[in-house]
Amino acid sequence: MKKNFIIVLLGIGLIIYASTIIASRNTIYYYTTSETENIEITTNERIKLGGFVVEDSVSQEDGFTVFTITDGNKDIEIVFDGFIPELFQENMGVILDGVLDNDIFFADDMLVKHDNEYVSSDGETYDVKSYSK
Amino acid sequence: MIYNTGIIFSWISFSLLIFLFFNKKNLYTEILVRVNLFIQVFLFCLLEVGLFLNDFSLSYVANYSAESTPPLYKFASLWGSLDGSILLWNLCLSLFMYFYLKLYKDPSSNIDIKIFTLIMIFFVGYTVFSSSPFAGCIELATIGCSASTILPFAELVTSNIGRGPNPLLQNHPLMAIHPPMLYIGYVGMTMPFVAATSRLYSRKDKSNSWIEVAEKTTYIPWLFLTIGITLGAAWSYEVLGWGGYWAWDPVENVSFIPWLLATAFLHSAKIQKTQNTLLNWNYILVGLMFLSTLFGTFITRSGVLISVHAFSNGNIGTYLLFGMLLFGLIFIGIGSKNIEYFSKSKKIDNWFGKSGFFVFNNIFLFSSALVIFIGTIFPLIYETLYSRQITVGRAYYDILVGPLLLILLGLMIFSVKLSIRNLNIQKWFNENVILINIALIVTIFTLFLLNNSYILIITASFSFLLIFTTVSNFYKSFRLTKGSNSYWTGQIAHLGIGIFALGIILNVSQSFSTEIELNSFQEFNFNNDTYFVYNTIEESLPEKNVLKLPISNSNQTKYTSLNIFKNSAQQAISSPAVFRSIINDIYITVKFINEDSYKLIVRNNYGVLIMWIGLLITSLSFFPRLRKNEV
Repeated sequence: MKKNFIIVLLGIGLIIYASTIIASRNTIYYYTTSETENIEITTNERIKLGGFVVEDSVSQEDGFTVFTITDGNKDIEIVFDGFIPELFQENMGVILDGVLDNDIFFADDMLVKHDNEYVSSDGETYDVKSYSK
Repeated sequence: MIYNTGIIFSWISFSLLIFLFFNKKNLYTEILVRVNLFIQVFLFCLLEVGLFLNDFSLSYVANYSAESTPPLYKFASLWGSLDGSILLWNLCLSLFMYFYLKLYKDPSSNIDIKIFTLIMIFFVGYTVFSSSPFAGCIELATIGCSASTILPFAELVTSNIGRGPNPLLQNHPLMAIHPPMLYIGYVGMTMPFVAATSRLYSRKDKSNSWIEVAEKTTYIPWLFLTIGITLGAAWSYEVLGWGGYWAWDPVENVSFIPWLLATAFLHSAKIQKTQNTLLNWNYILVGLMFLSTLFGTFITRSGVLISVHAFSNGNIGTYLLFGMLLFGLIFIGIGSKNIEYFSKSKKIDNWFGKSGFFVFNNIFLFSSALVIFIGTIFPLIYETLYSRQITVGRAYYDILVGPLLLILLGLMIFSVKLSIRNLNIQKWFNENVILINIALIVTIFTLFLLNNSYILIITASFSFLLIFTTVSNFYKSFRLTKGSNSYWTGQIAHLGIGIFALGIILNVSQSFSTEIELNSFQEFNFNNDTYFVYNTIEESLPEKNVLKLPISNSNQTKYTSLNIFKNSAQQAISSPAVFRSIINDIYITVKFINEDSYKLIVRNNYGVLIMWIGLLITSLSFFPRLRKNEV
């Protein structure tokens, strides 16, 4: 009984250990646009960048979709080459996946929030309207 | 009117449950459970009436429904957002309570109904004290309602126009069915929890009766979870237009964890019933099943994780954490009272016999659940430690969960004919030599047609062998009515999973996509077929404007459409055009429209229909359980 118990605990410990190691090797960092000012990112490091799509900023250039996102404090220009999710709209919260290079973010994957409210990490809800210019 | 009635009846329901819980003499238990069910049905209908009468003095109706919303989606709006979905949750809970009382109640004690009542007090309490779907609107927003009250008899304001449900939820009928299926699955996990804790608490019968009840009551929620997850994946594929069906998103993960645990329990309960072993393990599984549904609701509703399913919400998170703690403590308390009983658990004799295989099955199912759990909460822990937000990449799940599920697929092959004694692998080979050869030949034949990888080879041969052994077993033994009903349930479920695995591996290894730019009335070639693109058509419906782009191949015409919903959150959604066949789907979405030129994403998705067929077969596994001659 006790022996089995120890084996089970060891097994679970092993799984937790292995999972944690593998998970930490597969992390993708997530930033808001303001946070990009204070961080050091090596070139070509993939990150996730979140913010709201600024109104009237979306355009098509050479087959890329170009737009600007903001978190209310800082704007970043996005060059997007990928599948635009059907929910993509101005003023909506999006999370982009890509590489930041000289204040231009090259993204190829996008996640659109279902809701039109944005919840920040401190749990505060921002109304999209108050951010649109 | 609806507002006052709703709130007052919520309170009546709450007081009635409190009375039921403290009711010492156990008088009127059945009547009270019935009345409780009646009130919950009444509250459900009441909110539906509110939705259909467009009673915008109710904050919930004003914010999640609109006059122009079509009837089906009006009906489904009830569970479109948190407050309403708790109402549906309560309805399911009271239905299950009644069902449990009628079929599985412990005749010697009332404690099961009391534990059930306590869980129900917890959820009804939320609608009474925190936020109610019957809350009245006291302050108007531009559209909908911005402030509300849960106290009765307040002065209300009524908006003229509702905000309407989230556009995503009214784009496809699947969305109306998928959430209730998941809810029934989630809520149903309460039953095995109640069965295990109450029967071990009263300890009036020292038999294994708790495991029988727990096993029977797990199958129902397991079935609904299977259906719910399948419908969710199908909806994601049909509506979201990204061409996929599963993204290892936190919200998807937390619906998969209870499913894995319940699957593990359905197997290990069998072993306890026949060989009186794994007693303590089964008790732990039942507890984890229930707690994982609370955890799932917590992750889904608290918004602590970045997810596509961003349901932002108030204080439900803390409330659910408190619930997990409370019920966790009850569970541990009752467990520790029964240490002596658990120590009577017999040891596993034959590691390569029936019990051994079921233990392996449990190890791998539980490990998968644990790995997914860690992947899901890892961002939370990371953020707490380093105050940075992260997500765990898809590779994590591919590396860890993939192999575990592949091993499980391999184990299933042996499930057709397991005996208590150790498996003689030589004998097994001799008995199945024809099937093994056929499976290998079919696999090799398939590989000639496809792009190869060793994962594909292993998965395909395992799947084929599983399908062939199961089917030949059906052919040989089903008419002879050998085996118990639950044995055949398992066999059907395994057959479905085998077909599903074949579909998924085809999908993962063979699918490809391309981008095509063209103008109206032009054609393009893809995968040996010619597709012709027409011009966009605009349609105006009461609730939305639809922009349709017809595309046709030699046989049929399909539309990819863009739906722009009126007076709702400014979202537009589009549905893909899918040309289906059993082997592959041609799945077309519009990347962008510029005047009359289009950029299309054209995907060739393999195996999707095979996957759905597999999961459908798994869902049909309940049929043998309907047979009367339970062995």
